[in-house]
Amino acid sequence: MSAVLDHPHVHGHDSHAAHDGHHAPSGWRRWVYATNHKDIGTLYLVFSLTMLMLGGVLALLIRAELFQPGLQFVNPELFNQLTTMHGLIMVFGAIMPAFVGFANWMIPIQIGASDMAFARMNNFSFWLLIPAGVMLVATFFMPGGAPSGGWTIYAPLTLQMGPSMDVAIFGLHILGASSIMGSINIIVTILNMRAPGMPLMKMPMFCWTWLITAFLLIAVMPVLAGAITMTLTDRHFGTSFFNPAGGGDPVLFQHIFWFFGHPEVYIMILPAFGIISQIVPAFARKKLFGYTSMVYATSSIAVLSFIVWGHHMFTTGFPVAGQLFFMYATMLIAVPTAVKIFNWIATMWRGSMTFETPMLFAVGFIFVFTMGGFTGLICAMAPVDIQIQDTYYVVAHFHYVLVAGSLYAMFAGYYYWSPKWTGVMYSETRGKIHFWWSLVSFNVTFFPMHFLGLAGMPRRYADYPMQFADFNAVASIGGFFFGFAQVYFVLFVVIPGMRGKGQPAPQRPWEGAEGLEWEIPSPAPFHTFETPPKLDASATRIVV
Amino acid sequence: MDSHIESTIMRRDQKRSNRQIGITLGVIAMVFFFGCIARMALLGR
Repeated sequence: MSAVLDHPHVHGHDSHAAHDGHHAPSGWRRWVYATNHKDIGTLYLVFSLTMLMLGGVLALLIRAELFQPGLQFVNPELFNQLTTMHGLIMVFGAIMPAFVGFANWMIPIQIGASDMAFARMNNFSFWLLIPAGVMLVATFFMPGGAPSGGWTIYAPLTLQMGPSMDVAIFGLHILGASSIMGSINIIVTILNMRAPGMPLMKMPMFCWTWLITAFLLIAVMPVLAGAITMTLTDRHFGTSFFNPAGGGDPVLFQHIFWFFGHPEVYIMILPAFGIISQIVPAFARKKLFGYTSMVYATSSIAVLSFIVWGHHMFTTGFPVAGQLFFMYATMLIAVPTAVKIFNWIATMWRGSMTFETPMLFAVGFIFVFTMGGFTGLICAMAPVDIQIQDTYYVVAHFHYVLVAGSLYAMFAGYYYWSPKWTGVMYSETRGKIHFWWSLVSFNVTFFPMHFLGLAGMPRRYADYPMQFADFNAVASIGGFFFGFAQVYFVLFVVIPGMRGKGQPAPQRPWEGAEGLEWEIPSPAPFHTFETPPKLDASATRIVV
Repeated sequence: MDSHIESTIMRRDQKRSNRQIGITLGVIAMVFFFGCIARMALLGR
């Protein structure tokens, strides 16, 4: 581990460490009544990892069914429930809470704040997730089974479903409320609680990307809440927002859903960009290239995300002018995204790079996410999209940006920051095994889906003709290997880390890493920065 | 001024402005939620 240096750092503020454990509660009360941002961050991360595993099991059931033509394990009704719940659980239960977990852990430390702005609301935000998660999963055991209209919960399918739809709507409402409260907390913490000497334009990129993400969340989560409330009133209270039988319009639901749904895509990727922007400079041992342009690029992506929702709806009978507008607006997003990709590459250019696991995942992210970005451009072209709409090409595209994008960035972030969280170093060998195993099996799973989609295989079907058999078999084998890789990660990396097994982590485990998180001991004391630290001119070091 | 008093005042002021920003953002979220439904209910498509 060439980059692991042990600098015994002594700072005046390290007297915080002496307070460690002073006010630290113990037993179940520590977690149920948690108001400490680090504890709540841990709770979020454990919850999202659990949901990731659950969503992964659903994915493997889907892949098992699709291993060969004909019906093997599940009937078509259950298959539709599996695809729907896999999407909902992964988006709302795994990826979003995981990034909130990262935010809870790292934002107060990175900006030199003592905690999140609203500590008790933070507790409430987390504990809302549990009933919501239970409700979503419990729908499988309700009469008629879980919702099966796809994660996009399109009307009029949702108007025709059984009582599980109401439970899912309630669960989504709760998750939305949790997200909005979490976002308010993050915005207020960042805007109002930064240490003196840290202007916005010297803030770590992870905080910047989360600040922008939080504004996106506040803008669009209420829109989703509105859409599902209208679905609920259509189902039970005699309204006809989306019900054609009463003069409503199902396409209206799609407009409202995707006005939420497309910014949601960026909600799931912007914090990932932030993590990568922290890791690449650390392991290239250079400052981030084009910090200011990174901030503006992130903001541009956020603004543009509000005017591209129509590209999800090219086959709904849009006028040509509308198709052209959404096509070009979507392509415009490639510009700020490319700014970010090129800035990461420029940061690496002629840097003294080493490839510890966080950097491997970061480079893997850049490479595979860019492939997902390119297929996104292909999907953005209206004439092409009309052909590949709802085919496996789209499935391949969004798994390239969400799995190899968001999930890889989270793995990178875990390996990068876990020494600070757990106080022990993970095993570099195990980390590298996890990376290569995931990278290869991910591509084996999802790359063939491009071919399946181009050949015309539609998504959300339990069966397919013989001509699609070979690529489906390959994708299923890859899927199981990818799933096992994540079980390996949990059993041999996460659990040993949580148990404190491994070499003690130094305060500053990565010699090229900058930021206030590396100014405090490992593991991070229960309370940090109770008095605002004095920062140097770069706002990355504490002045004694 | 005594540094303890100074930091207490600073924290109190910070809490107050935290609350102001938080409530503003919460109100904005509620306006979006009710606005979305009201727009569809009152104006239709």
